[in-house]
Amino acid sequence: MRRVLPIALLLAGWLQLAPALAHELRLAVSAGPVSLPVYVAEAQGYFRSEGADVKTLGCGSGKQCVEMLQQGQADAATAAELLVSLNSFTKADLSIVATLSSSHQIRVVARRSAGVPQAQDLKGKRVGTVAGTSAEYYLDTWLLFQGVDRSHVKLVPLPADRVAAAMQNHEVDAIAIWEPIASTVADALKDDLATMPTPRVYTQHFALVTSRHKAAAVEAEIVKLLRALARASQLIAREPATATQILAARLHITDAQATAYLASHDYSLNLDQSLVSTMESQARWALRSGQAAKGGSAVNLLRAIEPGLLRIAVPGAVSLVQ
Amino acid sequence: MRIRSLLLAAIVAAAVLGTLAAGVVTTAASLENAAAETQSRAQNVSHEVTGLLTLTQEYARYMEPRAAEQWHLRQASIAKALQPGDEAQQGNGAVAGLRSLARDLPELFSRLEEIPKTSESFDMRRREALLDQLLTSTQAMSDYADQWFQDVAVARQRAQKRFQIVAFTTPMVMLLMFMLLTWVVRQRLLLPVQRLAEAAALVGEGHLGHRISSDAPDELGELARRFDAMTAAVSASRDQAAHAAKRLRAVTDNLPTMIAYVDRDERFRFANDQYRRLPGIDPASLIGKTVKEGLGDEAYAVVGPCLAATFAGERQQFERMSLVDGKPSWLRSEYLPDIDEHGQVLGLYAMTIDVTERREAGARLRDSETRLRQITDNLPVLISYVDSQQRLAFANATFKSWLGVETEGMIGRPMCEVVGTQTFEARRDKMERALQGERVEFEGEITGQGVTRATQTAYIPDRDADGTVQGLYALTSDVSSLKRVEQQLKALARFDTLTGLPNRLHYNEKLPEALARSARTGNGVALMFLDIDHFKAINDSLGHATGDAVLKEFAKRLQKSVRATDTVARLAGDEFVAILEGLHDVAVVTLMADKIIAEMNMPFIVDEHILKVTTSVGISYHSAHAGEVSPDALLDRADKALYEAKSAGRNVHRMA
Repeated sequence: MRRVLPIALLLAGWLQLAPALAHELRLAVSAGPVSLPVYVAEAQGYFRSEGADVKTLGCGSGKQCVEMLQQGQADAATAAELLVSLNSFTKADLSIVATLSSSHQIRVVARRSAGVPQAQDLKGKRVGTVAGTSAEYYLDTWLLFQGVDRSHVKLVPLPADRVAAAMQNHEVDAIAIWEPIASTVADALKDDLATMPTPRVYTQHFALVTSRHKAAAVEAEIVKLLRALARASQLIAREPATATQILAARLHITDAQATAYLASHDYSLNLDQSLVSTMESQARWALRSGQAAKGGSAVNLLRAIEPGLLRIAVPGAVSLVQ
Repeated sequence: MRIRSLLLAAIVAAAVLGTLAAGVVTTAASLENAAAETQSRAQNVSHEVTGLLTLTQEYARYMEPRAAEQWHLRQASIAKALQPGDEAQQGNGAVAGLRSLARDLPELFSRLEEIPKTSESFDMRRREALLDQLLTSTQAMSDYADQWFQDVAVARQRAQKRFQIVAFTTPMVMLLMFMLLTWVVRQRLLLPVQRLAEAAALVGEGHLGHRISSDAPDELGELARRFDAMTAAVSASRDQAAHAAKRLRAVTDNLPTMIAYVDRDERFRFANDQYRRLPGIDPASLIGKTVKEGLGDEAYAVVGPCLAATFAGERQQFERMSLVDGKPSWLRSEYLPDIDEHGQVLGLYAMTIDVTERREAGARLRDSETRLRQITDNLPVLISYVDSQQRLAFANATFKSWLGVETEGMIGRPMCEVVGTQTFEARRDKMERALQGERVEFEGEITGQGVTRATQTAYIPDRDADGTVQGLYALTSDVSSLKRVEQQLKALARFDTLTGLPNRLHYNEKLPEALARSARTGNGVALMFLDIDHFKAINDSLGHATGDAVLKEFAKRLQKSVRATDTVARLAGDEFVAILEGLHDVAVVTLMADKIIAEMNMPFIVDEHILKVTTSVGISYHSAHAGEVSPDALLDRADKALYEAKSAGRNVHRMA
């Protein structure tokens, strides 16, 4: 009894102190179905049960989230891989920890009344998009696929939160934007919507991004975060109805819309070789399209991916060669 | 729970468990096989995708139609391998991604093939972009294929592990089930049955106090409780039987009878203590021995045939000589067969009594009877015995000598036949009174062999110890000679010896008879009271002899003076009476009185003396119509009339 009591007291004390020792992880989360694993983990209490003290911060796009990260307002962010690919030409301070989802959620929405009944008709038309994001990358790739030279299109850069309004105000004739903005605009157009083809020209990898120089400081918390996200990923696969409800509630959309989003997203938490291929493709695009300074060069993109934490958190989820 | 229900539940549980186990093992094996097959498919697809990736890169480099053709072939092969049909893979994200890519890539590749192979900037940019997308997508296919292979590998490992667990667990569960069943059978069946068997063995050895004391609520528990109840009942029954046997032995040991039970093997199963009286026999050691061993060859020579006859179902009775208490004695044995409900003789009961004294008493009785008969046959008395049914049971030889009756044929016959209906009816009342306990004596006459005998008969009741009349002794003696003497004595007593006239005793009989006849006939009766006048003077002067002579003459003349049917009697001294009967008129009486007086006035010549003797007569007359009158009253009236005649000077008569 004399031995057990101090140990018990010590254990109790440690348990009391344990939450206080946990480092708060500020996670900037881009609004959209791409961030569903974060929503699910938060709704199901996976962060707390995994010991992660996560504080989610909302942002209108992955680009904004990354900016928050870079400005020190967040410790990690959810963003498309394109941002990291472009960053590799400049600061090269971002690092992808894991892919939260992969999807084809970016699409082109055009107004029929603007004379855009089909893709070829975009020549000479105003096309709005969020510059420097995966939406712009998608638009470029999509135009090439359709055989439309980007120079024949009048690209109108817009902040993400102004895309819908610009379309509604006829400031643009078409837009290239992600969900749920794309659906919102398409629904608003109603009969004036020109249905554009959606070839597989870009598989977006929405990733958990952290700052390279911060990664070491929040490494343990990131691992806990990854474990919670892995559980969320499993729940989405196992209980899609529950995930649908969470998504619908979080994005204020109907269950049908949420169900459609789930069907068009792959919420596997992983790091695949295709991510590297995509990022390399994006790097080449950046050079071609002038997103990167001519003659610039990207760092080895493998360095923009940090698979070590995911390997710790979810062994077997990393298949890329590094 | 009842054992029947328990066993049924165990059988059902074993069957269900066995079926489930077989189903689980089969399912696990099937899943493991399916997983192996799927893994093989995933591996094949992965290999194909790798090839496709190589072809894509080759095409990107050389733009050769050959490469494009091979690309399409490889892509078609992949698409075919990924055709829906494997429902188990429907939920797999990697497969879904593969299918999606396999569906979309041809369009991308075709669009790439359409781009003119010029060096124009736009076409080159376009080609480069599409190639990038194609390569990226093909790499994604490869990633998905790899992911699918990994997923399937994990699934197969799980299936293998499940199969291993099931393959290991199922026999363990079956073994546990078997052990459980064995335990249940042991606890609920074997142990209770063993306890029952042990209890049965103990009870069989005579330990009737042993109890199982089971409180199990099943059939064997109930059986155990019934067994306990049965054992208790048997114990109580045995105690009662032992007590009864003890009492029986105590009774039989104290009976003056040798009692034994002998079975069909002629072995003693029971012998009471009385057998100790036989030479060299211990009743306890007799049990189990044969009769021949127990009683000896000599005795067996006598009883052996009786044993055989008794075993044949016949009751046997016989006597034999043996030493009893060291003295030669007669033993009477009775063998009774012990017959069961099927008629089988199981053994016999032997009862033997010492009849030596009885035989000696019988001999003495026979001797006594012989002597008694000799006595009674020679007594001049009819001696007979009539039983309560009024049948002749004994008659001595006197019956033959007196009546010529052969009594031997009469014994046992009703008395009405023996003595004849008339005689029987005459004596029936007396006989019945005697049979009711009254000693009855009477006189009578019997005639036989030409002789009539006056008899005196006495019926003497024969009472047994408790006073019940069993019959009667009839003793009839010949009193003929006594009767004659009696007649003579009776005659002497009724007549005056001096005059020969009836005396006062006879007079006392005659007058009532005369009055009775008068009452019947209606005729009158007269009583004359006479005395001799001055007879005392004669007697005193001439002496008593002369006086007696006068009295005799007076009597003679008086007798002569009346009718033959009239009665003359001397009452005392010189007092005489005459009873005149059949009178129709009182005047006749007066005439007769006168006649008497006149006759007496005739001189009496006595011992040379001539004497004048007169008489005074007092008369009383009774008419039948005057009602009843007592003899004394009639005499008293006559006496008063005599007094009046005396007063009138004597030698006269007066009528009262």
